[in-house]
Amino acid sequence: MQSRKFRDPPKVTGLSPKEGPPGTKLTIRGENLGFNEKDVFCIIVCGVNITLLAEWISPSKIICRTTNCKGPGDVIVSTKSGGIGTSTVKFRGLQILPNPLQDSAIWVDESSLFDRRLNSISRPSSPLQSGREDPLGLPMEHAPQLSDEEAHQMFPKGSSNLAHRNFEPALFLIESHSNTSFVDLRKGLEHLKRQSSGLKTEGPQTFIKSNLGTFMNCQDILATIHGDLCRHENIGDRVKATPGEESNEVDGGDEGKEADEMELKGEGDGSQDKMATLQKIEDLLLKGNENAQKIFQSVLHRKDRADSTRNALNVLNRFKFLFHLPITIERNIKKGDYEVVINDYERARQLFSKTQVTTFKKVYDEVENKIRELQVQLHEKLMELPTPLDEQKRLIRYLVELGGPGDPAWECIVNEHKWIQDILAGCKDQHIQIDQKGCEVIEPPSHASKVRGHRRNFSGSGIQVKFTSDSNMDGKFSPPQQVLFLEELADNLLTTFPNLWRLGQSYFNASVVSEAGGKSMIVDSTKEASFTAMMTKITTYFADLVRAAFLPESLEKKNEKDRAKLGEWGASKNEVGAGAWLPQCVRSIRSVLSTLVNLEVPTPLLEVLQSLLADLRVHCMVTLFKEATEDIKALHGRETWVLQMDEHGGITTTPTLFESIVVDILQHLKEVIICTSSTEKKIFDNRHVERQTVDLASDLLMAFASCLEQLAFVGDDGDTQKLRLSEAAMRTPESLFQSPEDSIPSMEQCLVIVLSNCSHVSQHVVPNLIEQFKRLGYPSTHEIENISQEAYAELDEKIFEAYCEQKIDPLVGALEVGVYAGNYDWGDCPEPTGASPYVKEALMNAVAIHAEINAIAPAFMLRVMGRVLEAVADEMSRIMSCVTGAFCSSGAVQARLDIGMLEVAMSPYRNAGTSASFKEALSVVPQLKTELHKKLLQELQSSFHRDLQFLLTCFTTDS
Amino acid sequence: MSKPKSQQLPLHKVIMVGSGGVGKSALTLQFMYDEFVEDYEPTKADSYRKKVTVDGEEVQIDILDTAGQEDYAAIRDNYFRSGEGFLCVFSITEQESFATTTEFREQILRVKHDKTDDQIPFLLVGNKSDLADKRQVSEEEASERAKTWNVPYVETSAKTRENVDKVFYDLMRKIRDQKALETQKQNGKKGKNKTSEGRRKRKCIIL
Repeated sequence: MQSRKFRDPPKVTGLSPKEGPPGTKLTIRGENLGFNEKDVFCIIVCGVNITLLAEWISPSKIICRTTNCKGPGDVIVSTKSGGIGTSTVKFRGLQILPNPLQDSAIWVDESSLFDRRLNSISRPSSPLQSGREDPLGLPMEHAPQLSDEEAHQMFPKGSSNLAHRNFEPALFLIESHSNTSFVDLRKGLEHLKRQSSGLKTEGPQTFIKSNLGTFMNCQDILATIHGDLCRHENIGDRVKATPGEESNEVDGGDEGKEADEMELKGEGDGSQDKMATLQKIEDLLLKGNENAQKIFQSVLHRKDRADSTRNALNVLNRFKFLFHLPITIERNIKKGDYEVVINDYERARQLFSKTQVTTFKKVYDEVENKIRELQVQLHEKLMELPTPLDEQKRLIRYLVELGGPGDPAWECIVNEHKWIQDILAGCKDQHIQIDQKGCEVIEPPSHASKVRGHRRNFSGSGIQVKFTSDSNMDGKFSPPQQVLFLEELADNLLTTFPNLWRLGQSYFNASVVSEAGGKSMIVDSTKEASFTAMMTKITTYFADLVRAAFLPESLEKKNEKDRAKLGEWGASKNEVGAGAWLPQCVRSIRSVLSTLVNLEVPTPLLEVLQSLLADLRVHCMVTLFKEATEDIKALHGRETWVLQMDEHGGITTTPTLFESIVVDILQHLKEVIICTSSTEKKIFDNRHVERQTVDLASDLLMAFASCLEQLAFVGDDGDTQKLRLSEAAMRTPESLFQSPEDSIPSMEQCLVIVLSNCSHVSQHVVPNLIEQFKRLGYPSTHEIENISQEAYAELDEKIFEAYCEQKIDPLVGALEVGVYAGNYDWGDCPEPTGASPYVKEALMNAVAIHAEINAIAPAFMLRVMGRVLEAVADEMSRIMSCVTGAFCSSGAVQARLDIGMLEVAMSPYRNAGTSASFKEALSVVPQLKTELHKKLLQELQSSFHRDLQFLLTCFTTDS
Repeated sequence: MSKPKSQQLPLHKVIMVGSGGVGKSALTLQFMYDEFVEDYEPTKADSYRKKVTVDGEEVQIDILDTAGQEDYAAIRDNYFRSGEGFLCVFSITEQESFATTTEFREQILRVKHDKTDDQIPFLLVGNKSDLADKRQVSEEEASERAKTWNVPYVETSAKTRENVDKVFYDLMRKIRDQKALETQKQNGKKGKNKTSEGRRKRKCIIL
């Protein structure tokens, strides 16, 4: 719509140049000369429309070419937007009539010229004759004043013809201007003078040009005459007539005339002078020839120049390629069309590299310079990193094809090698710095993101490594700096190293260049060794950096200086949870290794990484095991004393926690331990590692034992007590011990619980875990199992003993006290009315124990109660054997009743030992002598059974 | 409409002289179109004309940009004859161009033989003042020559447009003043004659 807007009319204010012949390149300047090419619809110069020859440059500039524009005239530009314009300057079209040898930009009407030339060929004409006008520039009188006779009379030999030999001016004047006034004649004279002065310079030449043919004839004839004369010299007199005749025929030419005259004179002098005459003729001829040549010299010279110009143009045209080459090369370089440049250059080199022509040499030198510049440019580009491999290859190929000095591929390799090392070193420095800072300001996520962001920046399409947060790790822990470092380092290596390696490979099998079918490159095979060394250096450097970060002890072989170079990491590696990230590291290294394996790098390189990987795996395993062990040891703090019943008895959560920790660790280590590819070493093949693993695994499993032990024996110290108190509030409703007064299980109960846990662990958890170990390929699982089971068995025993001690001692101790309560005397006692109170008390105590066990771990019932019975039996037999006095009959009944009852009541738990003890105890007691006593005993026994029926059933139910 | 009007405006014909490549065309184009042309293309004879305001008066300036090259020396006479004012340009970076100004000066004086030196509006212009580090012609040297000629010397830069307008306007003022002087002379002669005649007449009458 803007274009429709009406604007000011165009105004031409400047012309460059302001005048010129047709074909002049004319620059028109002004205002509002159209806002684009299409806006300008008409350009008129001196009334001639030259729109088609115009080129719109800008609203203030148009360049065009003039055609047949005549005279001073306006230059009018008309635009659609501004209408018809004006002009403050005028162009003067010059009209020149080019001669036949001149170039002209326009069509020249040559008909007039052509006519004249036709005439001139048919009949020679003098310059004055050709224009039939009067030589004095006056109107001619056509009526002759004199008759032919009169004239002949007055001027016998004269003629009024200007071109005639015997021209008589007087006759001419009489004939043509008899009536002209004197003043006019004077003017005519002046005119003639002017004319002749013009003719002096121009006349003869034009004349000769138009009569060229005649001159040629004359020349030829004269030459023939001369030849003839020379030939006939010796023959004598007869000769003289012939040339005279011949020369008389010649007519019209200056030289001819002169020659004629001379000839005539010569004739008069006679034969003596013949020789001199001939000589003269010869001279004249030579002179004429010279004159003729002089006249045409400039024309010929011009022709020569035209020819040479044409030649030069031809050459320029023919070798346009070369002359345009510098510009073409520059243009193509700008465009990035290096292929074209190379092709062109190749062609130029083949054609012109050995040229002897100075012009070509000059241009070719320029081309060479351009190419050298290009080489430098390409070289710089090549040294710029990172560059994709294909790009590098292409650049190298260009450089090789351009035949530059040196070995670009090798330089590129060396450069890239250095670059990679720098990147690795830079990565290290950066992370160490962050690490040191991070000690003060813990803001890992932002660091991490920054670092990762940075890495993305320069690695372009880096491999995306996801940080999988581990289930057993607290989310608040971000990966330690070393891990981030390793990730980045590995990533860097993965992005840069393959590039370099492939470049090297293609360099050594010469495919860098041959891919394009170019010329072969000389491959220096000695460099292969140093390339390999370079690769090894990078790999080793990488491995060392990783070692410095994770396994500093493995670098102890190196001297201090080297180690310092590899970076020293803070002691933060021991912080909690660092181990959880190690598998991540192992994964990274693995991916590096697998990449390198895919690249088919030589084995030494792989070995470096393999050993690094193996070390890292072991380190990972050790760290994880150690951490897990610590975790497990700390489990005692997490005991809730909440029982969960199953068919084996009650256990608390700790064994489950323990199991889950171990299982988690194993899961975690699964990928670390299991070899993912054949190239990896089996870490357990190492004797030392195997030993270490067994120890660690055992430690791991046994850790819980110590945990349990702590729970059992140290559990009642202040801290734990508090813990229990606090945890008591969180008890679940199904807790068996939920009563306001007794929310914490007593010492004995704890023991039972721990005992139950212990047995649960040794019976179920440990075998399970061992099974897992086995499945994951850990060595010597039996050994681990044995060691750990041993530990648990020991613990079991210890706890059991402790428990029994706790429970049975008071019970048994109460027996003797009970027996002799009230100064009881076996020898003197009343008729028994039932079992003694101590029996009941002992039974009650036993029932209490029973209840406790039953509540916590019914599985232990037999074991514990057996032990109780044993202890009771032992004690009874001891008490009986200690009875010093004799039993009275009542006493005997009483004793038998008591012992019998005890035995009967706890009969489900009896064994050979208890039976023997009871028998021993009974053996001290005298036999009942009377039926009466026996009957009494039986009665009392049955009443005891009856009385304590409920109490007794509790012992029988579970057996 | 504007054509006859503009034709009525006074027209000052300025001629750029000086050897080849000193920046005559550059100065002209800078003055005319505010553009600086980097590439060098020898001029033959360019003509520019535009309306400008000098001291509040609308005038037309006609600039004839001539060829500096010796090849065109022969046709200069014609051009010079038509010129009313001259900007004689040299490049301060080229001693030779400075030397040639003398020849131009002489040629102008020869062509304008009907006028005295100080009747010809003339400015000596040292162009390319932006290329100070390549200076070959010192300011003193140039001023000295201008002094002997009794003309102003101005240093310009077609590139930075420094003093470009100044030289053209200064020259136009000079032309205007010169023209005014001439008409005054002509009129003056008549007027003087008239007045003196009148006076004489009056005196005669009185006497």
